[in-house]
Amino acid sequence: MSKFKDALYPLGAALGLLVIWQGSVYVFSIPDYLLPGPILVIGEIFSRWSFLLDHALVTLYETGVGFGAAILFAIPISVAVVWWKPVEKTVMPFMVFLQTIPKIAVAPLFIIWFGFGYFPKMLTSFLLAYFPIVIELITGLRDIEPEVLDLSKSMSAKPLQTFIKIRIPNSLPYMFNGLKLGALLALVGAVIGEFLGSSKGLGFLVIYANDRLDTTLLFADLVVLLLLGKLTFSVVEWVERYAISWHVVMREKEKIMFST
Amino acid sequence: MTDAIQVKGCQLIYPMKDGTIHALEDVTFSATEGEFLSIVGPSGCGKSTLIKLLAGLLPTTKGEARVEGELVRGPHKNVGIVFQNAVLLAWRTVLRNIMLQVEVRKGFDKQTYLGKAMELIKLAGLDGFQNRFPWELSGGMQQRVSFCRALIHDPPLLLMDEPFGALDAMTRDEMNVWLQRIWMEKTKTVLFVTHDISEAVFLSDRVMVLSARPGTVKEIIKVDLPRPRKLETTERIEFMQYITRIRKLMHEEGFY
Repeated sequence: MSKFKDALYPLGAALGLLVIWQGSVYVFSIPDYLLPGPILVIGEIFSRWSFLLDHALVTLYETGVGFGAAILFAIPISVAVVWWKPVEKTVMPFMVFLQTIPKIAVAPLFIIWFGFGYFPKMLTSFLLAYFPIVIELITGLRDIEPEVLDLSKSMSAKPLQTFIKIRIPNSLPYMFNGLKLGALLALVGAVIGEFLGSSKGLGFLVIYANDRLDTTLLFADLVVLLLLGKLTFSVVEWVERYAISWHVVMREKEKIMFST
Repeated sequence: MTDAIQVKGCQLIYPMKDGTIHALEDVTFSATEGEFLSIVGPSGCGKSTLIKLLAGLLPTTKGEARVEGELVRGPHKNVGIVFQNAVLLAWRTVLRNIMLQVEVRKGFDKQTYLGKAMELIKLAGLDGFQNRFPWELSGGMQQRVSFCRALIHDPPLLLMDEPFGALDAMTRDEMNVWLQRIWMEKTKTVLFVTHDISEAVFLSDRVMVLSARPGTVKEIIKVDLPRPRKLETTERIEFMQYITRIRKLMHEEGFY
């Protein structure tokens, strides 16, 4: 019941904003090419839904592959960094260095190298997504109270046992934080890739609509992008709820305790 | 009969970034089988270091420590530890937290110990909580789970590093009575570190006072009070006299 009530606040605020938006467009008679009203935008989404869906699926595909690759890359790298000191010393400076390069600036290079297909989009998506996952995972694998390590040692635990029974489960809540951030960045990466040269996808559609001053389509596109972002985030949240229910329930209980 | 604990001329010097810390010097004492021995001393005197040394978590720089007659060279099977915090794993239920000890150690049949864990849970008054997660338990209950984990593999020696230090005074009194009962039932040798003199006198057969750093044995005081001791015991004149005596020793070491 309280969950339903909590949802009323943002929903009410959103509804209020939409009313103000529609009202302003009407009262100040703002032309559609500058700012279409929400009714027009929603109408656009419904009338061109299959067209929007085609492009959304392309972006979703690129995001999915980029994000998947980021996960497959981040997990072994993080484990190796925490397990072997030499790997940390070798890999970490590169990671930080690569991260300081603005990937948006490198993306045009990918077009030159790999053309206009899906691959360069997946690559930018991957490059944006992996870093938060790696950083969170490494933190999670390391962030163990000294007393827990003493306990483990006192039980004559082998390093591999400590890793599997303590470090890995400890890292999961951190990893899911990284995954949530990574999922959103993967989408951003795919869209940026599409900006630079493509004929498909929601990022392409932004440029396409912009060129034609079709602001209504542009807004419709943005709404679909927003929904896609919400979808990827929710998928990660859903998996988190099943994978580490012990943590999710604890977190929610703490939230209630602090708010009352 | 061999002593449960034998410490002879132990010295421990920690290497630090800038220089060293001389934690213990020439510590010699022993504890008999089934004895409850407390260690009190000013903070930073190396009480916890001594616990780690006997658990095999730290090597001595001089001297030797024996548990059940065996030289301590590293973590060993004869010991169960209780820390100041319960140190429970958040992703494991009460039962699985207790079982961790036998899962990790070699040569324990999990099925047999599952039954033992349930017995301990009953003994600790945690019946019905075996499938709960640590955050669903109060501080005192969490600490009782950590006692169960220290007891599950039936070690002859229990090392306790200020196990009630993080609890409030009421819970602490309750836990002291509880621990005495468990100890009388299980007949374990206990080495109990605390900074609470009254707690030490209440629980112990003997109280060992350590000097300021580098910690060395200043005096060992035998507590001659009948068991089981009750909370009313703390109001007896003899009890007060023990406290005064120990406090005086601590005072000489610049404590208070």
